[in-house]
Amino acid sequence: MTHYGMVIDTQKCIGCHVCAMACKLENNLPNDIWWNRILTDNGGEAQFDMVGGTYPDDLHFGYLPVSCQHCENPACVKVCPVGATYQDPETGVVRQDYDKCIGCRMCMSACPYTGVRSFNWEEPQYHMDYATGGKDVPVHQKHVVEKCTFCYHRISQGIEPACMHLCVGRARFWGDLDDPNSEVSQLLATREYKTLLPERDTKPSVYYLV
Amino acid sequence: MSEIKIPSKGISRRSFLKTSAAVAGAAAVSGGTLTALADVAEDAKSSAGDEQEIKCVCGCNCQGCCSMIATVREGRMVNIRSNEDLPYPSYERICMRGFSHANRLYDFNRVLYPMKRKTWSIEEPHVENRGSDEWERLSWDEAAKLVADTLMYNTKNYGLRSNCVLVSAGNSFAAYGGLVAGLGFSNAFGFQGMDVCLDYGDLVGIGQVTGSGWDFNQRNMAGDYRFAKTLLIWDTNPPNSQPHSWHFCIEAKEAGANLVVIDPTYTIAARQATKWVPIKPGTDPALGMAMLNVIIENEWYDLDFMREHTCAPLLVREDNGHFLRSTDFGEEGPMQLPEYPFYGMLLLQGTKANKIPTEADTEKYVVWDADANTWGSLNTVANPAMEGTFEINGVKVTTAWTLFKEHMAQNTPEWAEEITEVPADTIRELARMYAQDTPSTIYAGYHLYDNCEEMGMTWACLASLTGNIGKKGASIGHLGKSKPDINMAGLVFPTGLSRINNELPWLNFQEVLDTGEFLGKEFPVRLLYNIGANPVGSYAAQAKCINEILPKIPCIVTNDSEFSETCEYSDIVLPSTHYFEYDWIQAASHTPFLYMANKVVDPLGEAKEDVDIFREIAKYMDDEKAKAFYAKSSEEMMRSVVDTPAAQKNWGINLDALKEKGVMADKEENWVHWSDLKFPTLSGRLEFYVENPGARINVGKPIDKEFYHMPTYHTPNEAYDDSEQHKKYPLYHYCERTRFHLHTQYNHAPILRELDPEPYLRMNPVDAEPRGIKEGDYVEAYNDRGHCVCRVKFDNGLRPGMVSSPKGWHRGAYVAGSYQELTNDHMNLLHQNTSFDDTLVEVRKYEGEVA
Repeated sequence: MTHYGMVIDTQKCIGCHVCAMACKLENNLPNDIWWNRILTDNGGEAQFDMVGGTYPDDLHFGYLPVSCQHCENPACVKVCPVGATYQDPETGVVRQDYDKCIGCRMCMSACPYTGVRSFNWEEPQYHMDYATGGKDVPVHQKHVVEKCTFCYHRISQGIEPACMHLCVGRARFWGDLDDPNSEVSQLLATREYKTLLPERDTKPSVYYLV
Repeated sequence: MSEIKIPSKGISRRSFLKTSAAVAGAAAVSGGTLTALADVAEDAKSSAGDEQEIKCVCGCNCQGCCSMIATVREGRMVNIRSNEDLPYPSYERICMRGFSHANRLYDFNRVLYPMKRKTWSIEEPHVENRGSDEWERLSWDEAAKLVADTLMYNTKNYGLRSNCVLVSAGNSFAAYGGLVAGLGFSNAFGFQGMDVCLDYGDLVGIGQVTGSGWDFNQRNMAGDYRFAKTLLIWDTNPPNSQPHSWHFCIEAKEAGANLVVIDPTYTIAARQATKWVPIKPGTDPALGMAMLNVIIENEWYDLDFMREHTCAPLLVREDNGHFLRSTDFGEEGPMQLPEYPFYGMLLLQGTKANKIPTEADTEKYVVWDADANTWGSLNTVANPAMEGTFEINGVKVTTAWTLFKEHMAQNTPEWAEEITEVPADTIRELARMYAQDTPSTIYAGYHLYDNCEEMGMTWACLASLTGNIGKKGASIGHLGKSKPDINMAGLVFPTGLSRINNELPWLNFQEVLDTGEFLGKEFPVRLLYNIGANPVGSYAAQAKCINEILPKIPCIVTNDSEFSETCEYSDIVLPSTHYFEYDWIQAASHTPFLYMANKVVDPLGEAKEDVDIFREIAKYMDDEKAKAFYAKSSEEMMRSVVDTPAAQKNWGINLDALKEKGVMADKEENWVHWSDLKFPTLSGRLEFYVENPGARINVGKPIDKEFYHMPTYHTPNEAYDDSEQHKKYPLYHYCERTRFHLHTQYNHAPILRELDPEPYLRMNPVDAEPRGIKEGDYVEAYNDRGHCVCRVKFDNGLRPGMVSSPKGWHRGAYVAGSYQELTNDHMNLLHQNTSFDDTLVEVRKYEGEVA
C-alpha cells in the first residue's frame, strides 16, 4: 500500500508562504480560508512573524507550516456520523466528501490540530469572479467542512500536491512513507524529527525535521 | 470593455482594507469526491483540453527574475507555478507574490483608460486640485496628442530639458519593455533624465575600488555562494527580500561554511545563520573598518594578491594625493584625472567605466624597485616595494599600502566596540573568519544610511586585502546587471548619445525647483513624466514631495498599471500593461539567463505596453529621428537587442531560439565576476586608495576629496545618539522588506491582504511599556518631516531603541499619514543616495478615532 506523507525541515523553512499560496490558488480557496497556514513558532503567543524571548541572547523564532496531518489514526474519521470524513485505503489520505457532509462540525472539534479545517458558514465568496486553480478541484459548498485534500485531484494524475511543486527554501518533501527508499523515508531515517501533538495518538503523516 | 470603475480619487483606508469582493459566478464541474484515485484521474482527462500553459516572467525587479508557467482558461489566468524546466535547475524559483498575479491583473485598482484631471490644462494647470479633482476619460488619440502638445509647448517656450522623465523598474526591468522603454523614450527625444537616488550608496563605495562605477555589477552569480566558506550576510534579510537565493546560502552552511548575519534585528536569516552579530544601527562601516584593522594587525592579508592585483605598491604623491606616473615628469606634468566614479548616468556605468586599461596605460605607473633601490615602471619591476616613503625627482611619495595601514591603525576593535556595540572579540573573530576561512563572500544589502559609501568602500577594501574577489566562492557587494552578449544600446539611446546628458538627481530636485537653476544655469521644470515610477509612494519625506515638490511642476504625467499615489497627484494618467499582458524580454542579470516573457492574457481595459504608449505620443511629435525609431516594430526592436553575434556564438541565442525555448542560459551557473582579476579602474587594479574621488553625479557642488581617499568613519546624518534630533526623537526607524510587498508593488492584491491586512509599526515591548503602549494599540510615529498612525506589533527580536515599518504600504492604508513621511531625504553630495533608514522618530499612543 502507498502511504503518502510529508516531511518539512523546520531548520530551513523561511515562512515564505509559497506553499500556502500554491494551495490557496490551486484549490480556489474562498476568501479568508487557508488550508495550509504558516504559523510562527516563537515559544510564546506573539503574532505572525514576531520573535519571542529577550533581546539579544534568548530569542525564539521559527516557522511551522500546518495543514491537515492526514493521520494514520485520525480522530476526525471516528466522529463523523455520516462517513463524509474517511481515510483513503489506497493512499492513506484523509478525505472529505462534500456531498455527504451534513455540516455538523464534529470532525472540527475532534481534530486536535486547530484551524486545519474550515467551515463555509455562508456561500463561499471570492475576490475574483471566476474560479482559479486546478480545473478538477471540487466546488466549494455552503455548510460543508473542508480541508487539505493532499491535492487528491493532482496525485491521482501522478502530479505532486501543489504545495510540493517548489519549496523556495528547499524545506518540503513528500512521498510514500511505506517505501523505505523514498526521500521522505530516508530523511526520517537519518534526521531527528517531531510530529505535532504525539500525545493524542493520531499518528500524523506530516513530520517536522528539527 | 471591463466594467471596473476608474478610482476617482484617493483610496480610503476602508476600501483598502476591505477590497471589493465579487461573488463567484464560476460554474466549474465537480470532480466527484467519493471516487478513487483512478476515477479522479479519468475525470480529469475528459475535461482537459481548453487550457493553455504560457511561460512568463515576473518583472517586479526584486532581482528574482522568476520564470513561471501561467495557466490560462477561457482567456483568463487561473494558475501559476515555477518553471521546472530551466537550463540550471538550481535557479527554479517563485515567491508568494508570484502567486498573486492573477489578483493583480484583475484588481480593482488597475488603471484602465487614459485619463486627465478635469481642471488641468497647459495654460491653467490648477495644481491645487491635485488629489481631489475628478478624472475625465480620454481616448488614446486625445491623450497622446495632449501629452505630445504639452511636451512640444514646453520645449518651444522653456527648452527641451524642461521636460523631466523619471524612469524606474515598476513595470519590469527588461532588455525590451519596462524600464528600457522609458529610458529610450527620454533619450530618443533628449528630455532631462532624472536619477532616482535609490540603492546607489554602497555601489559608489565599491565602484570606487573596483572601477565598476555605481553599476549593480559586483557579486558572483548566486549559485556561487554555495562555494563560500565564510558568507557574511550584511545589511539584508534575504529570506524576505530575496527568498529565491537563500537556499544557496543554506547549502554553503550545510557544507560547513560560517554563515554570519550582521543585523540589528533578529531576522529569520539570523535565526538560520551559524552566527548572528547584532549591531547598533547605521554603524556597520565602523565594524568593517575594525575588521580591516584586525586583518592588518595580524598580517592576515594576502600580500601576493595585493602586489599583483591592487594598488598597494603604487606610489601616492604627497603634494596632490594622486598616484605617481612617469608622465608626471614630462612637459605636461601631472595628468588631469577623471573623477571617480566617472559618469552621471547609470546606463553608462557599465559601458564607459568598464574598460580595462591596456599595457600602455599601466606602463606609466611608477613603483619603487626594492631590489634595485630605484624607481621603475609598474609593468617591469618584478619586486616592487610594498611599503615605504621615497623621494623621486624631488617628489615625495608613499606606497598606497603604507598609507592605508597607517590610516586604518586608529580603527581598533575597541574603538569600533564603542560605536557599534559589537564586542571587540567578536570583531576579531569576524575578521579572522573572513580572512582565514576562505573563500569568503559578502552578500550585501543596501546600507541606507548617510555613511553608505564608506560601507561599500570598506567591503571592497576587505576583499582587496584578503583576495576575496574574482574567485570561486569569493565576491562582494551586489549582483550585476550587465548582460555582455546582448546589445541594449539601440533601445536605450535610440537616436544616439548626442542627446543625453547627466541625469538630475531626485534629491536635488527641490533645490532646482526652488531656485529655477541647475549647474549655474536657468532650469525651468515644466513637466514630470513618471514611467514605472512612484515617487510619492517610494521616495523619502512624502509630505514634502506632495506639498512642496509636485505643486511647483505644472504638468505631471504617469504611466502605470495600478493607480499609485503618484497617479493620484498626476494630471494625466496613462494605463500601462501588467507584465503578463505583453511580450517582452527579461534580461536583468541577477540570474544567468535571458528570458522571453510571453504575454499571458490580453490587456485589461485599454492598457498598452509602454513602447506602444510612446509610439502613440511620437505620432504627434515633430521630431523626425525619434519618430523613425518608433516606426520600428516591437519585433525589430527585440531583434536589435538579442540577435547579436556574441549571443549567437557564445550561447546560441537569437530571438527565434529564445521564443522557442523561453529561457536560455547566457552565463555559467556559478559565474565568477572578474575571474581574470583585471579590474576596470584606471590602473586595472583594485584601488583601495581612491586618487580622485568625485560626486556620483555632478550637481556643481564640491566634495571634500581629502576625506574620501580611504574609508574614514563618519556618522549617519541624523540616526546616531549624539545628533541634534536624537534629543526629541530617540527611536531609530527603519523600513523592513517584507515578503508581501516589493516597494509599492503588490499593495492591492487582495489575496496578499488576507495575510497582511494592514500596516503596522514593529516595536520591542521594552520601548512600548514606558510609553503606555499595549499590544495592538494604534500608535503615532512622528518627527519633523511627518507622521503615521497604525497598529503596533510587539517583536522581541527588534533591537531596543528601534522601530520599523513594512516598506511599500500605500498611504491610504494608514489611519493618518504614512511611514514614508518619516523617512530622511538628506542629500549627501558624494553618493546622492536616499538614506531611508537614517531616520529618527518618537512614538506615542494614538488617542484619536480610527475609522
